[in-house]
This record gives sequence, C-alpha cells and structure tokens, in this order.
Amino acid sequence: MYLFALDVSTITWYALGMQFALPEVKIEQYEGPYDLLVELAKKEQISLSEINLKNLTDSFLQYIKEHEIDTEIIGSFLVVASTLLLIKVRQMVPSQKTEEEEEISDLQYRLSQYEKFRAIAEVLHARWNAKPLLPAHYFAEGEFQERAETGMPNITSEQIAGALQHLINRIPPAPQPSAHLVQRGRSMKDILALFQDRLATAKKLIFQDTVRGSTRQEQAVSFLAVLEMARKNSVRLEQDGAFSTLTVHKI
Amino acid sequence: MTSLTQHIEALLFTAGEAVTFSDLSQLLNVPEEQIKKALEELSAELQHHGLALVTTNTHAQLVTSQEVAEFLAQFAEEGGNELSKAAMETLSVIAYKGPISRYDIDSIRGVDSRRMIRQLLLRGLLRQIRTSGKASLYDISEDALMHLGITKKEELPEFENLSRSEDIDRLVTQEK
Repeated sequence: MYLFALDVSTITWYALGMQFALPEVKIEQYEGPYDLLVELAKKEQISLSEINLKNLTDSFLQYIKEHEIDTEIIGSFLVVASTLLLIKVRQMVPSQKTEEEEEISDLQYRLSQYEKFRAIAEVLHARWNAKPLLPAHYFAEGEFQERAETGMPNITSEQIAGALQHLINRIPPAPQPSAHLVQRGRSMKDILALFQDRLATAKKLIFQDTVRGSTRQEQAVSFLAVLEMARKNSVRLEQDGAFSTLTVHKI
Repeated sequence: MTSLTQHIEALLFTAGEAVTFSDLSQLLNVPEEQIKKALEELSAELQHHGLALVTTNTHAQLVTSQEVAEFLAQFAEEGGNELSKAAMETLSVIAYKGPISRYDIDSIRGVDSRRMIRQLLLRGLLRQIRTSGKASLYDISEDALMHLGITKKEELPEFENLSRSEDIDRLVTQEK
C-alpha cells in the first residue's frame, strides 16, 4: 500500500482544451507500519529488538504526524504506534504485566516474520520479467523486437482534424428522395428510331458510347432496343466477353 | 507417453491459454486425479524441450520453457508491466502461503491489503477461490508464475522454508 505524500505545488495541470500535462506525484512508499519500522531500523542500522524499537518510536510517530496516511491503512499504523508507546512507557515505569509483555513480543515476532516476506519480495522483484515464460501467440502480431508504444500516442490536433475531414469525406451523399416525379425517359419506339437513324449513316456503333450519360432506365431500354433489332436480324451484335465493348453492326 | 498425456498436450496446445483441471477432466472423461497424474507425466516428458507446462492448484498451461527463456527474451520487449513494491510484497505472501484469506494476508503484512489484492486480481496475477459461506481465498495464478520464470510455485526460492514455516502458520492462525 502506498502512502501518497502529495506535494500540491508540484502538480501542473492544464485542462485547457485538449492539452494537459500529467501531474507529478511525489510518492513515499511505505506499505504499512511494519515496512516503515523495518526501514527506520535500516536507516539507523539497528536490529528490531525491544530496546531498539523504543528508540524508533519517535521517528515512527513523527512520520505519522508529518504524512497524510491513507485512511484505509491508518488504523494499522496507530495499532503499532500504541505498542511502541507501550514499550517506551514500560521502560520508564517498569511493570510486570504479562498482557503487555505479550503484546510487545507479538509485535517483535510479527516484525521478524514480516521481514522474511519483505526480503523475498525483493528477490521476486528482481526475477519479475527477467526470464519470463511466454504463452502461446506471444509474438502472434509480429511483435518480435518491436516495442509497444507506451503512454499517450504522439498525435497533433492537425492530425485529428485531418482524420475527421477524411471521415466526413467518406460520408455518402444523402439519398435522393425515392417518391418524386421523374421525367419519363424515351420509349423503346423512340430509341429504336434513334438507332436506325444513326445506323443509316454509320456501319457500326459502340453501344456503350451511345448510352453514355443517359439515365439507367434509358440505358436499359436502349439495351432492349438493340436486342430487339438483333432479333429482327437488322443488326449483328459483337461482344468479346461479359461487360466488354458491345459493337452493333449494321447488316 | 500415454494417449492421455498426448490428448492433454494437444488440448492445451490448441487452447493456447490456461485450462482448468476440471475442464480437462470433463473433456477427456477422466477423473481429476488421473488428470493431475498425466500432467505430471507430461511435465516430465517436456524436460529439455522448448515448451513446458505451468501448473497451479487448478490450472495448467503450455508455455515456453525456462531453457529458452533467455533466448526468447531478446525478441521480447523489455520492462513495462512492473509491479509496485507493495503489490510484489502482497503477491509474495500469497505465492508462498496461498490459498490464503485476505485476513491472513493482512495479518502477515500488518496492513490492509484490499487494494493490492484488487490490483493483482485485475492484472490476472491472482486467482480468487470462492467457497460459499467462507471468506475468499487467494492463490498465485499461472500468469504470475510465468512472469517469475517458473512453472510451479514449488520452484520459488526458499519455498519449503517460507510456505511450511510453522512460525508463520502460528501468525496466521492465532487470530482466526
């Protein structure tokens, strides 16, 4: 558990538009009262005997006073503080109460056990990710030797604006209303006449050229007209493959 | 290699992630005890292979072996995914003493560990064992073992010492 000693003056937070700097947080890491005691003893280069614990009481209490300890864990600090004070009192006013004796030896005992896990945690910390065993598909996305981007991607507001513009460009135009009056296209008869007129002066026509620019409906009617003429043997159709150029030859 | 170990190996390979003993037992229609035995056999078979078997109390997963860890590390990205000191301390207590209740974790660490447990759970480094009417127990996950480069928790440094320590047991049971 962290004790966050948050120095407000070091926090810079600009919530202006989309630009902001992450706050700088000063962290003093004491996971709990045991951790703090072990650390204090280390600093003083002493063991955690009863006599030494007494000497650590002041710095322990000072730490609690000076730091805002997380409410979730403050209780455990106070419990230890009371035991430390008990040790101090006992040395000034010697008494034989076994209850107190137990409480003090219990704290010492707990500290000695805690130290074992504290030490092993450091060993495991060094091993963490040093030589990891990897799961299947670890490199599945071509991650060999490629470092993952961490933190905020480097994106400018221009890029975002560009992406938005790109997106806007891709929005399809609004559909044409389907229920309105449309000009009626030329009839089959009209188109047949048109083709016959053209074939009077030309020997052949490219179908695609004759319908370029006409409406879909007119294109369909023209196609039917051409088929009709072919059926009546007035023209011969030639096409190399599906959707390729269709040539209309006058017979 | 018996056909059972072959089938387990094949299932674990195709799963590509941790599979519970009970799932294996159901899929293969074989009692869990036999599954555990076959897993031990498979683990032994895989010695000196590029692949290895990671097992917890409940799960098994095929992963790359310790022998190739250093070789593979050159391709893997370094750093990241670090654990805070407090998180590592909590994980250590759970690794050695698990399955363990939050109460006992607090007792060893001398401090409330709820937030740390939540964090570790979110990162998939713990397994929560719920039994109705009892406090949840926590145990180290195969993911955490893999980060530590070991295939079972018995390979943790000083595992015998710390996990079986009567001293610590006295500590965690006296408040129950």
